[in-house]
Amino acid sequence: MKNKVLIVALTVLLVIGIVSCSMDEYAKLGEAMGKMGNNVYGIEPNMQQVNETTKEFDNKVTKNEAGDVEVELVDPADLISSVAEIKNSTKKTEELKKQLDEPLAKDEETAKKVQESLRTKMENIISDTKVEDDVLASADDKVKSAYDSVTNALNDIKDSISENPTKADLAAVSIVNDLANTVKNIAENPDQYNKADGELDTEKIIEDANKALQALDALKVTSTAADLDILKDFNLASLFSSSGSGSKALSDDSSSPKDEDAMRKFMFSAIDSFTKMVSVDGEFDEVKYNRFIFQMRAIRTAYETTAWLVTPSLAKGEDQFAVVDAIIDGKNIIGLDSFSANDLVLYAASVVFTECNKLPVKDGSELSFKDAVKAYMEKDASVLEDEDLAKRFENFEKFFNDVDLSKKDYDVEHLEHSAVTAVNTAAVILVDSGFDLKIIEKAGFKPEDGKSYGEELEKAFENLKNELGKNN
Amino acid sequence: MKKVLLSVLVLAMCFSFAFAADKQAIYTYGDIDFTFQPTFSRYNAMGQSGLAAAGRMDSFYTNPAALAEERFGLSLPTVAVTLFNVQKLVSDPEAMTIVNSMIDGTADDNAAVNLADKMIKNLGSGYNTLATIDAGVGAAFGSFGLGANVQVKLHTIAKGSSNVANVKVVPEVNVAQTVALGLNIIKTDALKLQIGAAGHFVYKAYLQGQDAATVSSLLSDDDGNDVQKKLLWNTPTMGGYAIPVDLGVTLSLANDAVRLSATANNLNGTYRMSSYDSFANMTNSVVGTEVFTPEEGYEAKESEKFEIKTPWTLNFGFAFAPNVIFKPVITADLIDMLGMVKSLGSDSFKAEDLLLHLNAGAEVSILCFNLRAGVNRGYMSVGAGVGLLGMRIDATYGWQEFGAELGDKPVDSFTIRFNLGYDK
Repeated sequence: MKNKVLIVALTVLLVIGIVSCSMDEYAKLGEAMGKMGNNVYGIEPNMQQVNETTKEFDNKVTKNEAGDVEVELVDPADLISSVAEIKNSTKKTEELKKQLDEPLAKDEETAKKVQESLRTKMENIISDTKVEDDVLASADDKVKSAYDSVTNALNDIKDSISENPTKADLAAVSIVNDLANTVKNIAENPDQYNKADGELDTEKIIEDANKALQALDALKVTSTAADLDILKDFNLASLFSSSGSGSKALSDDSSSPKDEDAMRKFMFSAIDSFTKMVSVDGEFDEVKYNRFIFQMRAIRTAYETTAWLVTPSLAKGEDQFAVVDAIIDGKNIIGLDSFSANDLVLYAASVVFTECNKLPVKDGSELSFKDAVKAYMEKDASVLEDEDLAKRFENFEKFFNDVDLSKKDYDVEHLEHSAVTAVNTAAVILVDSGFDLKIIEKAGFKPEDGKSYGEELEKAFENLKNELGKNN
Repeated sequence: MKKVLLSVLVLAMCFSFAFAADKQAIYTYGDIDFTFQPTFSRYNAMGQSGLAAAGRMDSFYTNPAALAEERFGLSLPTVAVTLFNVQKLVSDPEAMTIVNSMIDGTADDNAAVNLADKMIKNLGSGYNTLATIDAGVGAAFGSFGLGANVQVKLHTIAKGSSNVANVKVVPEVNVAQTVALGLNIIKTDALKLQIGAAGHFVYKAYLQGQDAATVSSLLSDDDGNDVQKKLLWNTPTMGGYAIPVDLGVTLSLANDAVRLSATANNLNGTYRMSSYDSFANMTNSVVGTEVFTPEEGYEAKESEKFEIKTPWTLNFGFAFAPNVIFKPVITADLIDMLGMVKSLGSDSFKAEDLLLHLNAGAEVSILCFNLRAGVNRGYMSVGAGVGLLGMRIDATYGWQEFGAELGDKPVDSFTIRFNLGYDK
């Protein structure tokens, strides 16, 4: 019995010893534990596959005697399969991103020629993937939507190729070209998803959907813009503490200072992630901004194409909110456990940034979104750096009041349309995400009696629209 | 502005799906190694080595030839808890403040959720594990061994960064029954040759990957019941069985001071699985009676069958265990020899790659205390144990590789294991 008492006492002492450490002692303990994580053999990860993958890009830019530069696309199948293996290793993925972030050109003069060549390449892709009107007329509405989406994307991508394209940009063009060809193939052969007996050929659907999913995965790894981690500092507890019923969270401004602080922290974390991506040494960098928008456009295209491919049987509803309800109610047919909620966030970000980038401004002399971002970053360092979240939030609001973006007559309807499309497609994308509606309800987003989630979403967009346009 | 922010948040978390289909879809996770092995504190502390000097209960799954020693062992029960990614948590002052507040009872309502949030963010991209909980009973008497184990493991998969929306938690439950036998083929003062075999009936079940928010909400008092209900009745579950076998042979020389072993582990490790629309449905189907009562109108979906293959490994062990003061034990194992032989033929094979298959460790005993250290594919581990009549407690801390290749993703873990009975 004495022995048992002794062992229990030793356990209690061990626990007390651990938890009674000061923060400094914890830090020292953490440091010592971290040192044990260094491999004693000193073996570094094998980067052979990463080097071979990026070396392919070096051979794709050729210059003839006359000084003309020709850029060739990389083989998307090879790239996608290489990336699928590399992405399983954190360190290899980091190295791949680092190497792909290098410019294709060695000097400024060549950089311009590479940009021109890539634009020409995009024009060729646009003409090569064009489907004749009479052929398209026989395709169903959903295929037409997918085709329109890709066509618009190709034009946007062509226009947003940055001044000094990187290997990642070439990867994006190559992957988007592959997706565009898939959509073209479907538009030209609308019957390929039907078996002879008229039933849907689900094997073919899943094959194409998987192909598109792999392309999307590759794009997420190769694009630096995909690293935008909006939810990095999002605190789950702030979600749980926002208790209430109905659409309280959307309509009630009363919340604890702690909740508001958590929200501000989250919001500034997202803003910081974005500003870091479009700056060099804290200064706004136009080339990086353009590249960010270009890559976001490519990512958006991949999501939209994939979304249509994974739900070929989902009828296109006239009321897009009804489609959301249909999906929430579980009326899809294909079970692909391939997306996380983060995909929705990344997709929503890609829509927001690409749409904001071209928000029509009625008065041409006013600030564009790019100008606003630049002005925000150059306005006052304290706007970005103040540690006091409440003060920072105040500065942030003051800045936007000063530049008065809300009075620039942005086309709110246009934004709403984009947002609706984003929600609709994102809902499709989140097939089988398993996200629990109860969690959403905990956030205060619970349909009132007799209303659906679609109707509540519509209301959320009304709020969003009012917020954006209340000073119009 | 807050409304805009909330709108975006709501949109980011607004969808849930279940498929209206006659057959339950199959969910597989290629990143997860579903091989079942209980957590061995001593073995892990010694750098996952010690095949030739296996503990009594550990020998059921490592080297059953050790049972030929005919030593008595008993676990009534053994309980082990392992937490992963501990170093990042200890290095985070906010996390440790939460832990302290939870222990001294001053934590606020959101402490558990906040801690879970931090643990999720420490997972990194790709595969990781949050925690494992093991419980087992077993007995070794004469040359026989009988045991039963239950293990709950929380695997995680993050595509991209490990934020709350990006991590899926895949809970896995294993229930195993073991019968083991070890025999002396040759037994002289100078030399012993022992062989052993252990057969395990393992029933494995894992749930469809759950978003981190769902898992965290279990920690939230006012939402836990709803989520439990969801996990029980609305979460697709895959379940099935395998009968893996472990074989071992040990050659002992110099009065057991020098031992050489060869083991073949996890032979016949193919699980015959079925898909179920819920954990409750799976349980009712397997048990053959209504353990969980379904709600009115519930109709179970039809199951689909599939297989999960887990690899077998060929391993060699060496131990030097002279019967002198402090009872030192030095071990060195060459693990996964088949994998090494395969890599020998590849162009990328380098001589130093042999080190990647070498685990080594040491143990000394002082009175009732044991101190251990080891190296597992180049990653260090340490451990300590104290055993007094009828009780034993062991603690282990160490690193291991979770990536496909060395250096890809080192992950640390801390195990505390308690045994009521007699085992070493």
